[in-house]
Amino acid sequence: MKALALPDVADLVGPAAAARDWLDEERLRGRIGANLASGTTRELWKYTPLRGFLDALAGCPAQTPLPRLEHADQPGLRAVPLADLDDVDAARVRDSINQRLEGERHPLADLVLLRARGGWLIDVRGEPAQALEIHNPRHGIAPVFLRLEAGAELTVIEHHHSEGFLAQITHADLEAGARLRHYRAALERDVAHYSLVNVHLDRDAAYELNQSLVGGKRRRADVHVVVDGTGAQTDFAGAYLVEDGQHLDQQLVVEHRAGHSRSRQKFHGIGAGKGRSVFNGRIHIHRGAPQSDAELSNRNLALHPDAEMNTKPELEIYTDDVRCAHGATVGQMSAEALFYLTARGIPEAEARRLLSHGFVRECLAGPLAEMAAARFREALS
Amino acid sequence: MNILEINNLQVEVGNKLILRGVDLEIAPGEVHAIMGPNGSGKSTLANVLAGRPGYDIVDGSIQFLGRDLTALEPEERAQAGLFLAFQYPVEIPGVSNMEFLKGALDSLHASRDQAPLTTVEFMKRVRSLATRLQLSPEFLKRGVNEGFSGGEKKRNEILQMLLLQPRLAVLDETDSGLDIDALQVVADGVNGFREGAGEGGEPNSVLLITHYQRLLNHIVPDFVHVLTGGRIAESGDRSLALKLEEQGYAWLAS
Repeated sequence: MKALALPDVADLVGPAAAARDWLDEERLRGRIGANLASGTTRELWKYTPLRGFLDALAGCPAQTPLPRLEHADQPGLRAVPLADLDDVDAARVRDSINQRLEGERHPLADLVLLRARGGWLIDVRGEPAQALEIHNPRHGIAPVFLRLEAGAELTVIEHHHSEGFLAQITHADLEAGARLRHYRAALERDVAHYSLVNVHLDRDAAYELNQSLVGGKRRRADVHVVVDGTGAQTDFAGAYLVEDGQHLDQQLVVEHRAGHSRSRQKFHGIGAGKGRSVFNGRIHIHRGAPQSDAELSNRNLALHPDAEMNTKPELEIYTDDVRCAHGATVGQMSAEALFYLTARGIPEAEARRLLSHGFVRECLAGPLAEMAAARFREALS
Repeated sequence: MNILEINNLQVEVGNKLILRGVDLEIAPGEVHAIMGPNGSGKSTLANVLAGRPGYDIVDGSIQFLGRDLTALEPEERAQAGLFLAFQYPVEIPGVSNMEFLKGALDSLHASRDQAPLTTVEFMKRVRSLATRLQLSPEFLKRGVNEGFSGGEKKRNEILQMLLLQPRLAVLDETDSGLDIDALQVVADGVNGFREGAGEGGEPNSVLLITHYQRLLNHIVPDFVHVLTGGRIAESGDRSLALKLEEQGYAWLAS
């Protein structure tokens, strides 16, 4: 097998930072070299050159601005910069990274954390009245660790205004019965963006994600949710668009580690130009997770003859008593729907615009939906 | 001038000849019913009128308000005043009924160099039609036909007909799957449409395609035609429909 030509790990990681109590630096340094060179990594980075991100990361200044938080100062929320954590909080972040970030699958996330000099820990208790808004920096490294205490409920609205390279790690621990609604829109052109949303769900917890993405120079958006408690559920949906010269690679994983759990994934994407889209949706039902109920649907609409759209659902099931449905398609516009609209007098070009826009609009919900819909409408007109 | 004139229409679907020489004339204000057994070509006739792709005219002609209908794209037929109420209305999630209806009406106005309705005028008109057809105004926000029951879909077709005010409405088994109350609502809509004057003050026309006589108790046709084997085998007045109900279609074949 051809080995990846990787820079030296020490060069990648850079010099040791001043003590970061929230990060078990030795541990991550110890595993990263092998993980970056592994077959798993080669497979997961088959379509997106990892090297480009490694170089961008190596070129990142040591100090980059933190994400700006809005409505962080309200009852039930406590946001602390990672640099200011006390021993107890630092240990908690460290444990989350050590135990809940799968280094073998996400070596780039390890590397991003090793190079991070700042970030946020956000604790949530009860039900904060207002949504927490996270404005990501224009470039740099942006780790955010969320912890929702048992029964807590929060809405997070995540904004992107990238201009260059942004590496973003969002980790959320949801304790029993907690509920997180997460809305994100990353609609800028010409950016290099790596993100991992990594979520751990305890008993009866619920995580909802709705995201809209437009391809970038290179945009890689990974989501990894571990359903680790009985009765927990996750529901994610999203829409994406790839225009001329753009690249978008999404790798989504839902792991059912506990039974009586539920997951839903519904993503629609449009290839509107000569660009490349990759969508891998993986459902992994572990042994001892009876009555897991998982569904994944990914539909792609190729509007441009040179649009490349890759989709691959993956199922791994080790428990008998489960329900699991998946579907992935790449297709053209429905002739039936097109005829229906034109038969009402709508000119064909306009009917095509309405249908393609509707196709992505169908998967958008929440406070960013209108903005994303407008962005998609503009791109499709 | 007749609204519709069909002469010796022969239509193939997938290289199979379905219509084998249909002749039909519809004058302003007339209601014609086409009945016939399954597979006789009723829906083919409806679809070929609306311009559905995949229906090839191999012979004959269709004149609509004096124009060669076959030369027009589906949207041009609608703009010219033809309306097909679909047998199976399509669900389009992501496109709201509001967006769809406004888009359709604006397109018709634009094709006639008329100013579009303001949103307020449009909403007022659609709300009043929704009330008339017993559709909740909430339906406007939902995707086109998304999650609608069979009856709601058919009522939505009639709402579109009343909104777009065509000169000829072709109703393709609009009565199928309707309970008696919904049937009455739909029939009231169609009867209102028929009486409403079209452009130039002439009344509108209706071509009803149906399996069952019962719709004709509510919408009284001027003519009834029996389509069988791709041809109109028998034409008559309303009594023909009653005869068909009693005796079936078998007597026609002999």
